[in-house]
Amino acid sequence: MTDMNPEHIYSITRPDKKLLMLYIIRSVLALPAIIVVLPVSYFKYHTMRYRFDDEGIAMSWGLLWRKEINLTYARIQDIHVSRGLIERWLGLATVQIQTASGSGSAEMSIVGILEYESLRDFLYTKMRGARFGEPETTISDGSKLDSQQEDDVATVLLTEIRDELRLLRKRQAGGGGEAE
Amino acid sequence: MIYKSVKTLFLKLLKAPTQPPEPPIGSPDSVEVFRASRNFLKYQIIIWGFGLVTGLIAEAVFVFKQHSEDDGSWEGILFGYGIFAITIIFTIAKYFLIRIDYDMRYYVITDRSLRIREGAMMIHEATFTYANVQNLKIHQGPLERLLGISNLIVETAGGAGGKRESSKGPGAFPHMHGHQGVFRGIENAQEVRDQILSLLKQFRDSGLGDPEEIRRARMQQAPKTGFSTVAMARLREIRDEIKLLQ
Repeated sequence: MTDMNPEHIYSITRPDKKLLMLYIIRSVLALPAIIVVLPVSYFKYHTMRYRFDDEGIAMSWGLLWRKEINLTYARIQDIHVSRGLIERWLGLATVQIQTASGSGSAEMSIVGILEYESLRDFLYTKMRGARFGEPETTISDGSKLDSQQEDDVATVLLTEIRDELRLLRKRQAGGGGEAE
Repeated sequence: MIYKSVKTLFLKLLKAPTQPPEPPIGSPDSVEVFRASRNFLKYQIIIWGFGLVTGLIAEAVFVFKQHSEDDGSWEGILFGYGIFAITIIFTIAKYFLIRIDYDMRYYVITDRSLRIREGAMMIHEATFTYANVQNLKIHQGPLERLLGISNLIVETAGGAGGKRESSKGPGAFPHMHGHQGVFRGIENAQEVRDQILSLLKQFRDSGLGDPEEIRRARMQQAPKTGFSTVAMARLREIRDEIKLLQ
C-alpha cells in the first residue's frame, strides 16, 4: 500500500523535472516537428501549475493561450493511469481523470507526478462511492459518543425507576400482608 | 521454454510490473483478483493463426505467379520472398505480444470498486467505483461463444471517445477508454455482472456526484427505536413491575 498522506498531495504544485525530460525525448522522436513541439512542451512544462485542495483540483498551463481546468473530486467518474515505455523508464505516469462530460478523452491529465500511485489512491478515496458508509462513522464519531452517553443515562434512569417500583411493590405487598 | 525467457527479458527491458495491480484501498476482505480465461488466449491465437494462414496463402499465390511467368524477373521473386520473410517476423512478434498481453491482463473487483490493468507496451490501468457505473454490457462473438468466453463492458457517464469503437466487424472488440472498462475474455461474465449489479443497486441516484446518498444511507441505517437493548430490557421490567403492582 502506498503512503497516502493528503498533506503531501496538497503540497503538489508543480510537475517533476523529469517531465521536461520526457517532453524533450518525445520532441526528439517527433523528428522534423521538433521545431514546434519542443518550444511548446518546454513552455507547457514551465507554466504548468497544480492545486489540490479539500474539494477538488485545479490545473493550468500555457504561455500565450492559457488553459485552466477545475474539477471537484465528487464529480470524478473514473481514474485511469497509463504508463508508456519512456514514462516507465523515467518513473512517471499519466493520471487521467474522467468526469461525465461529452468527450471520451480525459478531462484532466495529470502528468509529471512521481507519486502517481499515492495520487491515484488519494483520488480514489475522494471519489464518489469509494467510501460508501464510511463517512458515517467518521463524521458522526462525536455524536455517536454522545448518543452512547445518552443511552447510558437513559439506562441508569430506567434502572432507578425499576428499582423504585420494585421497592414500592414489595412495600405494598408487605403492608397488605400485615393488614390482612 | 522460449516464450518464458523472451517474456522475462521483454518485461525487464520494458520496466513492466510483473505483479498483479494493487487493489483499491479499503475492505481488503472483499478483494478478488482474476485473469482472462485460458480460452481467451486460445481465441486470440486462433485469430492470429487465421491471419497467418490467409497471409501465407496470398504470399504463396504471389510467389507462384512470379515463378510461373516466363519472364518472371528476379526482382519480383526476391520482392516476394522479402515480403514473406517480413510477414513471418511480424507474425512471430505478434504471437509473443498476444501471449504477453494475456499475461499482463488483470481484473480486480472489491465490494465498492473495480480495477482493470492491461497492456505491456502501454500499461493502462483504470479504476471505477460502482457508484459511478451507468451500464453493464456483455458482448460475445460467435467464436467467443464456442469457447465459452465473453466481454463484460462497464460504462460510466460521459461520451465515448470511440475511434476504435466505430470499427465494427469480425475481430473488432470493445476497447478500454475513458468512461469504459472492459473485462475481456472472461468465463463468468454473468456472475461478475450480477455481483456488480447487486452492489450497484444500493445507489438510487443518477450516479453523477450527488453528495446526498451518504446522508440517505445513514438515515436508512439508523436504528428504528431510540432505545438501546439494555434500556429496552429495563422498560420491560418496569412494565412487569407495574403489572404486579395492580
